[in-house]
Amino acid sequence: MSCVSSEVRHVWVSLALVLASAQAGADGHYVPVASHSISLGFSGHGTHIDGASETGGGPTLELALGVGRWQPFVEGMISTAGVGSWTMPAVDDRVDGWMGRGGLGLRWIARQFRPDPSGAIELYLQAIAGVEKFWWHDGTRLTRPDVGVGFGTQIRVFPFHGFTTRIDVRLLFTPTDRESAWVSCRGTCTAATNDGSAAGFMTGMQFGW
Amino acid sequence: MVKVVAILIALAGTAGAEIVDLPEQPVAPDVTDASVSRFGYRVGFGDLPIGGQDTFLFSLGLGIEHPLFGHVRALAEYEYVFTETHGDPARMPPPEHGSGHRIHLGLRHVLADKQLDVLRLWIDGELGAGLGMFSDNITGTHALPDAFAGLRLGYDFHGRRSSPASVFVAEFLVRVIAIDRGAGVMGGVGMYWGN
Repeated sequence: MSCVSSEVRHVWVSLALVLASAQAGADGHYVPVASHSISLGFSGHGTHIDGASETGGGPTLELALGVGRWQPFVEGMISTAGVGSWTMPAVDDRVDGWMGRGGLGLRWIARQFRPDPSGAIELYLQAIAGVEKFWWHDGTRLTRPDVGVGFGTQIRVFPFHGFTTRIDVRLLFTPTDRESAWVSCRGTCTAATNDGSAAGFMTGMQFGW
Repeated sequence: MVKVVAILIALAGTAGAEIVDLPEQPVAPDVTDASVSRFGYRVGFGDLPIGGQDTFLFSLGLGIEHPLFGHVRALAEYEYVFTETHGDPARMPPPEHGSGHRIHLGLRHVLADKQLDVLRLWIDGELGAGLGMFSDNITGTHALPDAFAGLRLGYDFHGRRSSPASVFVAEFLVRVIAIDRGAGVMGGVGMYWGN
């Protein structure tokens, strides 16, 4: 994707090196993930739109398949959204609205710690891609793609239908409107946006079966 | 994206999954500590005087550790760092927000520990150095070599012999980081898994 170029590539390369390191020490017999699972949760996110911070939070739903240590999944999220301007940081200049997001992802169990036979504390790594749509209260609409990488911890209880509690952290890259970035920053302000992407993050907690 | 898919597919070929449920005792901590490499992550935050201005940092990082000798371990970390700087409010400057990458290499050593069955509480000291590359929307790109010293407080939780990861580690980190124009402090919460 040309809209998320050099910075995202740096993250991919770094992640690949870490994955290779992680795989080198990932011996042992893993209890596989459930073949089918559903998760409900809550996530918060922070990104940028036209050089201004955008934040929000809301419920999430995930449907996943499981193959060994791998979990391909689809996910959806309905979230609040709010964005302000640096020129007028007062509350009355803030624009609020809603965000809907749908995405695809792939999760890999990098490490599994089993203190006893009934459960495990696991480290997972994941890659995601999705689409965000914003409905602002001033009538504006915005649709944009995102890609991301992430990691997290999940605790599984095997006897209880594989009940899973997951704490999730993600880096999220979205395209940047270069023209707006010029206007709002002036001068040398384009350094952070000259690769056409802006970094944000998303974090949340999920409960799955 | 193609690179990522290729990497993930390649790794998938080496990933095994087998249910094992053997009635074994937990591994004695002193058996595993000296030879276990660790892999995990940390969520961090802190403050650095980047470009002479106090800058808030929030980071998401992955790290690996490998035992060297005795209670000394080598560490390597990669962090994706978000930065934000607010100038004088009276002048209403635009907030500087940016992001970047940071790599750290260092050593850590056990300063004190206490064994409680399968749990070991500890305080570790650490020293190291690194390099950060940060870009923001106002001042451009900064290359920041640094040196750091810190303390880590946490616990090791040791598992059964059949557990793929022999140990689970949770820790708090406080670290002083020195750069060209001063020093800052960062804290973080991390989790690591032994192999």
